[in-house]
Amino acid sequence: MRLLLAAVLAIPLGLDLYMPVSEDNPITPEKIELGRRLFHDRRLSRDQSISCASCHDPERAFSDARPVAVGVFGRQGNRNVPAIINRGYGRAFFWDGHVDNLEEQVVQPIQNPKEMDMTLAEVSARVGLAPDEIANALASYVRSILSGASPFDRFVYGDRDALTAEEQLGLQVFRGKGNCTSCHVGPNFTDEKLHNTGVAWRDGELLDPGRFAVTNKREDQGAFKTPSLREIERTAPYMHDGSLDTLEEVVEFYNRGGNRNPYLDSDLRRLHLTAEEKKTLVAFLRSLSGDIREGVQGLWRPLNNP
Amino acid sequence: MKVVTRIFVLAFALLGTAFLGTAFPASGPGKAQFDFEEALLLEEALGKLEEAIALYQRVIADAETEALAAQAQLHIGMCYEKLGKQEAKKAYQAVIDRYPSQQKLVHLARQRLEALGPPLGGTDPAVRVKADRVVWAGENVEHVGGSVSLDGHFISYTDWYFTGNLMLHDLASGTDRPLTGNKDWRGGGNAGGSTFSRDGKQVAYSWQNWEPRFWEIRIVNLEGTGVPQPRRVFANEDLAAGKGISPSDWSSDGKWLAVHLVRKDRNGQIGLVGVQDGSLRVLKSVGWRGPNKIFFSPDSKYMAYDLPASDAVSQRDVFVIAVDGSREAPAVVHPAHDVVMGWSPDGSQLLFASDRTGSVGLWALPMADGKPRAAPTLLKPDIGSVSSLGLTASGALHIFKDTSTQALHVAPIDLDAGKLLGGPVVQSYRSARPDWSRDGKYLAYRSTGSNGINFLSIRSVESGQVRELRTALHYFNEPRWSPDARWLVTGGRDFKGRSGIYRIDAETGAVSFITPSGPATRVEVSPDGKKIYYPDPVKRDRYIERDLASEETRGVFRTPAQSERGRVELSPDGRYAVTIIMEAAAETSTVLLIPIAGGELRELLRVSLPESFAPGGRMSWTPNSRAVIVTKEIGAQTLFSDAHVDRKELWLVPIGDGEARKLHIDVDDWNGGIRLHPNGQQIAFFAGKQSQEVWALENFLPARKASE
Repeated sequence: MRLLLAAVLAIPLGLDLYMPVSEDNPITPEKIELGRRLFHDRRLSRDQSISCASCHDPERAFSDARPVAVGVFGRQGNRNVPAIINRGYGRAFFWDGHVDNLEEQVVQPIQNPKEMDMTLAEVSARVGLAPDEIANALASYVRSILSGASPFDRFVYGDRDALTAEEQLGLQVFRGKGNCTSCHVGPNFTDEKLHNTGVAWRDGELLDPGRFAVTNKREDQGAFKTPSLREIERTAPYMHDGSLDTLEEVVEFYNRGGNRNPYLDSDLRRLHLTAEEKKTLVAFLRSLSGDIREGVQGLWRPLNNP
Repeated sequence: MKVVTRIFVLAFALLGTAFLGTAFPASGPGKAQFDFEEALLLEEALGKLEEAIALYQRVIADAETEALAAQAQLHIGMCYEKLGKQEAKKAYQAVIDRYPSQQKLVHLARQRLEALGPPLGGTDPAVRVKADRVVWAGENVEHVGGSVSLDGHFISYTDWYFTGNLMLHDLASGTDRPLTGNKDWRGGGNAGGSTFSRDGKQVAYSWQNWEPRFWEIRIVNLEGTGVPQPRRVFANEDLAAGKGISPSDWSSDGKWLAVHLVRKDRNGQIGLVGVQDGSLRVLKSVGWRGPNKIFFSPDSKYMAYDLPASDAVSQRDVFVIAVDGSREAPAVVHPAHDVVMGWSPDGSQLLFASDRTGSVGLWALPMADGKPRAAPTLLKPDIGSVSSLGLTASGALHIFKDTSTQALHVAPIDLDAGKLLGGPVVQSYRSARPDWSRDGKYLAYRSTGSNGINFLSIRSVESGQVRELRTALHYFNEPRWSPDARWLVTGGRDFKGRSGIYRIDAETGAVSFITPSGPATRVEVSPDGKKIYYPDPVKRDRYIERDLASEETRGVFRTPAQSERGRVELSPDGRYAVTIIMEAAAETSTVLLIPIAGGELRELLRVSLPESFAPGGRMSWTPNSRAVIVTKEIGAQTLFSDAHVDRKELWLVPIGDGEARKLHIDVDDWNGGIRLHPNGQQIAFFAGKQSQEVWALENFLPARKASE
């Protein structure tokens, strides 16, 4: 693994200085800028109607307001568009974690019939770049999409006034009674692992096999990757299927221990949170909005503070 | 008698630091196997190499299997090698010649022969004497934190026994100097990890303030005498209690400290703290379990550290990260337990300890530009430790070794006569915290491998066979059987760092969480297995009964005011519990009977200083629930320390009619874990001497070729 960060990216407060980068694709300003242009390029889709940014909307923390993704010709996917912030630190990609590196991840939506419905050869011909160049540039750009320096980050780095009293109480619930840190851990609030929380369990059956479709392992039934909670306030609706509209609904879901099912993760249990604790927990989650930055150093623009 | 304060025991448990004992047999031993374990003890723990050789030779004569004989022969070679004697080669050669079917052992013997030079019969010089030596031994040797100064004159450590102070041990004079000002454990804080500046003039250390709770990194100048005034370089309130931040090494340019942080979400991080401005640079977040140590490369461009291979195992691998965060490389990735020990002074070799050969050896990995450049080689077998204090400038690696002889014993007992009927029929080194199943068929206990990893052992009383269960608990305290022997319950900490009470499946070792609690919580199980009992983690004076099905709890009793409570033991019939109550003002300790259903607490026996009752782990109910065995200590100066205790006695205290009486058993060496078998005819206990040593390993590095 290799990283050429220091000369290219400034890491926001709260995130690790080290970001894993493939030795075959060192970060350069040129690749980031090329990736940025490709990210917004509608030629990457069959009918040239959508770009990556159409679903990964920079104004919504690179996520989408619709419950599930909608691709070319109005084709509907079956999973929610994940927010692609701080994915440079990721180790598992897509809701079922079937990809383990960004270079491979960034080109899959291009080839998904329900999303952009192209072949890499077709895209290559349209934009005049080799498939590897496309993948490397898009991956480099995605690595530049970073969110940090939130009130939470300032708080843990010593500014004890950065969180309100209510948010601090919510942080205590988050780390304690709420048991949230069993999965939402670390600077990115994700263990990069897959868990069955029962979201896909309805009326006695799993609507989506999740990780099981990748591994065929019984214990992976209905398991989906833990998403980051960074910018969570801006990324509704929630869960892999976008089935929960608000943070209050999400907290209520976990308070009841998720949806009981035969494959429920052992870390899920009833939380018995009071109304006040739930309220403070939501307040804390909202403190995870910070500065979203993308692109090369000097070209950053704080999207949430126009 | 070994001085161990009860406060130390508490702090030790809070840190979740596993006890390190000595090796033990994995199954019911025959005579030769038993002798082999004894010989191992003589060799590895006591350093009595000549005696060990004699015993190994007896093992070879008596061994029922070739494998055991070959192991003994190999160890004879190791003993001779440690003694610096030519016979080492002959002994290793004998493994190759006599036991060719024992391929692993033959391989090891060949490795040792290669390390010792040209083959027998050649023109080789005498076997090179390995200059391993004990540089510090005694009661104050600590095994957590600390480092050796580059000049090899000093060792920094935390005084976990008495004060929580940062201490400086002078290896030449053998004296110890406090570098912080605690008078005792009520000092308001305690030191954590520490490291020397390269010039040896300063020590950087972490300090945990208790109220309000926050962590600092401080630096003190070692010049002068007395307790030096520290300079605070870093402070943070949002770090985990117990192990928030620990400086592990000091960069060669003097500007940075390599630190391991643990956030309050239990996420570990590896970073740098600026010596001048205290700025924190987090290089990498590493999940729930962090490194044992972090070492700068001599040029300070890289840092080496170890991490568990995954969230579900204890085995570690070693990594190297650039201090500017620009890259990271896996250095040692292997199924074995691999722990970083330091760098060679010239930076060409990364040193690590590994148990890949079956015992912990010291290995070297050639490095260049922060990456491995060749396969690792074994430098020294059987170093007996994965705990490094670092290297001196001359290349002497300093390590902690646990040389305790403590072991779990089982011996026949006649309670009526009040005496043991013979020596121990079971001895398991590196084992403690026993509990008999209610049907008497199994003995469960906590074991610790030579690599420091905990596991649960379940011994069949009938066959002597031992099952070793690797659980998803990084640490656990004291397993207690369910009535049907299908599960056990214990306080512990899982691999995600969550402390609580856990249930362990006795068949599979699968772990399930019951309720939050301290990792060292002692739990009792009701006779019907439907309830558990444990101290309230918030209101420490309250004892809780928890219904496992409904999760409802109720307070069972409260400790009387102005007193401290020891452990609580539930009677086999579930009607009563006993505990030891200590009243500091009156300087008394009392055996107290507690009716579980409610009612008056009843005093069974009270003594005053210099007599006291040991409050933890040194009592057991008789199977008929009519009496309790307690340990009385004579000579103590305070209730809260067994310092100066010069004698121990075992007393049988009836809860009804009858007088308490002393048993005629020598228990001076007993350290706890006293559990009577349900038939009342055997007793399990934990006994032996606790000792640790610091060793300096020298002349182990291979000479570099001219081309390098």
